[in-house]
Amino acid sequence: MKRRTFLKKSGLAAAGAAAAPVILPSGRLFAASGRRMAEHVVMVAFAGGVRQQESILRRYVDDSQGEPYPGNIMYNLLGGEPPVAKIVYGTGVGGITPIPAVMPTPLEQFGTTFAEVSALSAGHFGGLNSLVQGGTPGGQGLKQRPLQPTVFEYLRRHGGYKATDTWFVGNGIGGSLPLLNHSEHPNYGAEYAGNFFAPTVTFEGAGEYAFADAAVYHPENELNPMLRMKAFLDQQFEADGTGGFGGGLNNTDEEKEQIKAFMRLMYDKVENNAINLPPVTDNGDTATVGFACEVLSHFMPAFTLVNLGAVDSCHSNFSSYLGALHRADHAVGHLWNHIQSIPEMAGNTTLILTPECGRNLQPNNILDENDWRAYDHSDENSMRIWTMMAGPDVPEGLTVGGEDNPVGMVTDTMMTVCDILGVMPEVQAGGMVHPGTDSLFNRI
Amino acid sequence: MRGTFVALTGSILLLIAGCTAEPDVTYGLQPLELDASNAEKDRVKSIDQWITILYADLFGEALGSAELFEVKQAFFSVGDQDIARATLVSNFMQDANVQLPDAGVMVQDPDGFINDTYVRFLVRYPTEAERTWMRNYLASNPTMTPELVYTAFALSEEYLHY
Repeated sequence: MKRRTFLKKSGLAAAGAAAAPVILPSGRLFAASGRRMAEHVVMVAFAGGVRQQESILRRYVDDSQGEPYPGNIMYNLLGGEPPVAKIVYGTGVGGITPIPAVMPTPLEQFGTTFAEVSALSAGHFGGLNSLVQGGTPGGQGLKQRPLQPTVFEYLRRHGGYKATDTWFVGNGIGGSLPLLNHSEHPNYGAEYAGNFFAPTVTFEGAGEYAFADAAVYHPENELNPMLRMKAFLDQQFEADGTGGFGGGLNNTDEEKEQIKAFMRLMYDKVENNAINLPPVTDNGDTATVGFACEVLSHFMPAFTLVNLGAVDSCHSNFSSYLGALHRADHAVGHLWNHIQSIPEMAGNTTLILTPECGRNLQPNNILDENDWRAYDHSDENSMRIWTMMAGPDVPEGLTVGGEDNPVGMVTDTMMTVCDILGVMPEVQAGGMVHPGTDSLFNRI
Repeated sequence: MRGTFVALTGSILLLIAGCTAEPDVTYGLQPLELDASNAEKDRVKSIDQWITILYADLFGEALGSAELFEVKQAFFSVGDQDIARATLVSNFMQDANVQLPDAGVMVQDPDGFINDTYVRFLVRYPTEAERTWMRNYLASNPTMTPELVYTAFALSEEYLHY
């Protein structure tokens, strides 16, 4: 074949391939228009309210309790020497034994850190909504679903991801948390929702009573005949298909059975102490991350959001807060290691983490067992957070911004996820995110 | 003596007043005629209603408030409520106290089994078309058990409404 003929034919083929519609799992005809930098994204809402001073600024009790002992207590995420005294964040009586790092190199050294990011809310509700919606929950009440689309819906509607490609692993069912997997927006909604588990409830708490003994029916001899009978009953009733008090999330029948099988597996693993938990699992966050690892292994989702929150003990106990911060770091280190242990996810997964809000500059009057004062979150210092990310195309060892130079917003995290997974043009075109929200890649 | 007389008179008066006959009140339930209509079920059960009615239908007794709270917590921890419902029904089915008819009843008296199942779950009788479909379906699907039939009914859209 002559070169010109070859070029003509291959050009036509390429053009045809580009124009040919492909029916995606969502029913959408065309794939997302954005670039796709990684196959998977794991986003950690490093939530509960984290002060800059004890986290990214590595000041330990030097900038909170008037004790001259700075230091880094997040060994897996940040570099820097640990405190030399007043150790209370570890294990054992009084927390005097720090948990050893589980990552050989801190994430900071092979990823990019945005050291001073602006939150849009000083509270958990607003902050978490900023992380999932890319905006503020204006007009949205507590215990109400988001009014604007969530990152799950953007990904599923515009990226063509199926339901089990997007997961939200929550640290509980308090507040509005279980409602953040989809919005009430008429053009999005449950049809494009992310799947959700609060695993410490589903698999260890109340869920054991309600679900643990459920059988997994044989697909041909039991399940299909039962479903055909149900279909007949539904046909006779001519329901509107909303599913009553709580509907489905557009999981296919096959996906539903996968999820049920996963639940069965989790109950078995809990019984046999076989959940992939971090080496030290003595609070809710570490347990949540253990179950998140199981979700990753089982479903290898394109997008997973993991929510933490134990640091919120800082409202009444500063020592407990330090321990929770140390454990959140430990848990994320374990999560990163686990991602690298999954062949399908290793090397093509981006991890991105952001607290939803900070905490106050000044303490309240509550003293803990070490006579240290506690901190709430309501002032300007509560609007100071940070973001870290690592993965394909993420510059290594880069720090952007600093204490006197804020760069980026809390909503950027959600847009960055959309950027990595290729749906940012559609999200931007929708115009429903907070003004100025951008991919962090565009802020480097 | 006068005091004794007054006390005695007062006691007699109180006794007479206390002996007033109670009105004849009877409490009971009005019989309700079941039919084969599902058209009036246009309201969705709340999550509490669905769980408690399911429990009563499967176990013949009321679910305790503590257990209801547990089940609701579990439901809130699962995003896909279709999955939560299916898993709860299956979980209840494995309980030793669940009131399932013997599989033999389904084969020996299919019409009776179908009627009873419709009344138990959907609070109505099947139409002739429904009864015929069910009878043929059970006959041609020998792997169907009372557990699977009850599961199909408990998960049906009609069961979510009242």
